Amino acid sequence: MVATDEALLAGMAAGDPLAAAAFVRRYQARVFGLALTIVGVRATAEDVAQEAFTRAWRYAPGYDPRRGAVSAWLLTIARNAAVDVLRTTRDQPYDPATLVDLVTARPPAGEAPADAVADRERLRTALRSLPAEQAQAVLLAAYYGLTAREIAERDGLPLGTVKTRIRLGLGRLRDLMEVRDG
Amino acid sequence: MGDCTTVRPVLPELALGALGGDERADALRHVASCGACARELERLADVADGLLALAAPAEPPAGFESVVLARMTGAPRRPPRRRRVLALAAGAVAVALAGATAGAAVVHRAGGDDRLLADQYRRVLATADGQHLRALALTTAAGDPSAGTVFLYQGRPSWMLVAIADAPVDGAYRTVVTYAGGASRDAGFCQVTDGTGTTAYPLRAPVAEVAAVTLTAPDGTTLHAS
Repeated sequence: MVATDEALLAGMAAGDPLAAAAFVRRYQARVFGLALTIVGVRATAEDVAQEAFTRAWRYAPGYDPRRGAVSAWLLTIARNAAVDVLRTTRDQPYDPATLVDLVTARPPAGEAPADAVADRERLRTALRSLPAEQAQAVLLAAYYGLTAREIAERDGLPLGTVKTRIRLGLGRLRDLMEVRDG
Repeated sequence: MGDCTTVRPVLPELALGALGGDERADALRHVASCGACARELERLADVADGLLALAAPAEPPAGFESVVLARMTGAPRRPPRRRRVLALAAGAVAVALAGATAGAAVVHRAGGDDRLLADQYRRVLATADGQHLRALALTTAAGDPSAGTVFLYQGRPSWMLVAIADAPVDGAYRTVVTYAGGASRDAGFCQVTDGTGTTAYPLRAPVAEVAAVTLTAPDGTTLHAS
């Protein structure tokens, strides 16, 4: 048995460098991997991942477990740090179809708990089952932080069309995940 | 402020962190006062969180850990002094817990662990003028005493740390402290995920007066320490 994520975060909130080191070791591959998926360049991804952990350290005292798991909290911080960089460079390194391929590709077997791997695989399967335009709109929002208006302008589509794609796409993913949970 | 009719359609964008400006502010105001929309947002946000977890892990360049630790610990963070004291104490116990319950806890490197733990324990008590730390086993309704531990710290301020190691069900456990005189106080919630959860609360009475701590899950499952 190892320290829980919450225990490590409590240690970080207390300013404990040992807890911080353990936290970084536990999550660095996932944070760096997410950053790399979003910004597409290793050097930039390294900067983003460093920034994400620095923000996590700074925000640790305010973490509220009622609002989600530590891993989700940290990945959202990493995503926001990456989106901040994208907004500066006004660039999205991957076209929408490539982004969907990247996210839905089955990764090599890792050391994550089997149930977490199963959940991710279910979500990948659900994503692949969506119409391509819905999956792309959902992932452009989730990974690049693009608003419906930005996606509409980017792709020359009516705003309502993009909003509908995001709404139907994420709603369908939720339904698919919950049906199998039941 | 929006109503359900106008806010529901934008909840997916809100969950994805892709709603901006006035629309976002309106939606958040509505969600704060509408339980149905709040639940819908939570369900969508769970999926949105899951999407970020799909990114393939990748090992960062060599030396990443040391660089990031130097940045982290050099970053300014100045919460109010009273919170700092509480956080320090809670964090040190969290580290001690990890060491106590896991022979090879990841927070410790081999060698010097016991000395470090002892030193941190002494610093916890010294930092906040603490008198003592008391631990109570959390027992399930079926009598299993290994569900977790409640730590009670007498100091300035005094606090309680609930550390759940193996709960029978997940969820937000309501935590109630019962005092020797029979009075009880609601101490908030402890979120349990995959059987584990850790939450600290300020303790408003002397540790010696705490008679019992009871946690109740949304489905009625209870954990009890006395």
